[in-house]
Amino acid sequence: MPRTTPDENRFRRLYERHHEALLRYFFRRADPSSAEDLASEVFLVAWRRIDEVPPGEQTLPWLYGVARRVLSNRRRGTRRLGRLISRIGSMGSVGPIEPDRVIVEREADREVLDALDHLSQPDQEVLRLAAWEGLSTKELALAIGCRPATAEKRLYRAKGRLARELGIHRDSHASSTTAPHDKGGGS
Amino acid sequence: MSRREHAFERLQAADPYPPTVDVTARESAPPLLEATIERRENMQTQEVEPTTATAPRRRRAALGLAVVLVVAAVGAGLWVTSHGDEPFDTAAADDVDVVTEFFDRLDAGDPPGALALVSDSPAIK
Repeated sequence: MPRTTPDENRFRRLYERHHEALLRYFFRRADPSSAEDLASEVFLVAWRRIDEVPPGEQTLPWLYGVARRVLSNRRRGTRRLGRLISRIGSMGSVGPIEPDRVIVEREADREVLDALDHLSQPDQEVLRLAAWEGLSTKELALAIGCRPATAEKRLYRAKGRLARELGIHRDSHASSTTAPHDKGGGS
Repeated sequence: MSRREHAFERLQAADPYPPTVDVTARESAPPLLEATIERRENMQTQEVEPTTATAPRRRRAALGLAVVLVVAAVGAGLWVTSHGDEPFDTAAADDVDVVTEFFDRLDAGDPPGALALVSDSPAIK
């Protein structure tokens, strides 16, 4: 049996402990068929930089930080591909990866995810990391690369914008249901 | 509860992959772990090659830059040589003799004479 180095042992433990969390991260944000691939990219980075991976409770937020960049690179690539295809004009455009739509069936959930879609990417990420990955302010700061106080402010503001979007959505939903009457009784 | 916290709770509830959903069932993790470990080792081997491959390229770039700098320096020297006497070269063709005479007088150690020669020249004015 081949001997394993301390680094390799540490990496194996890290992988076993956090693989599922990383997979879930990508399932929530990317096409499920590419989640495994994206997660393995994150672990490859972790393996190459095993000396830089912080220990203990900081490991997972650090991995989420890497995951965020990996996903961002993938999205850039997808957008570029979409532009190329639409320029060629033979196949139509490749839309953004939106796995949530496939899974979520409840109307209330759909509404909140629609509202989330209307926010900026940084706001979306802060909210997802806090709501779905359950990160504390400190962990959030490590994942997005800022100070805890800044992370707290960003989360607070993002929550406010989400609440506003939900309000807007309710209003627009209400106005869309009343629109035919308005049309009928209008000029 | 504030509107903010209410919206946040709704978002938490809308998690498309809550912990109750098993995401690992469809893939087998151990082979991927081994593949990742192996992949890094392959990448480390490959990383050696670009370093050696780019070295001659860097040398060529440095050599190219040096040639450009030398050509620029020579060009600038030639330009200075040909334009160094600019105020006098702008003299009209008829005044070329005056300019030649001016330098002759300067070389002969007669600056007042040289100045007297050109003080009335329209080309110098």
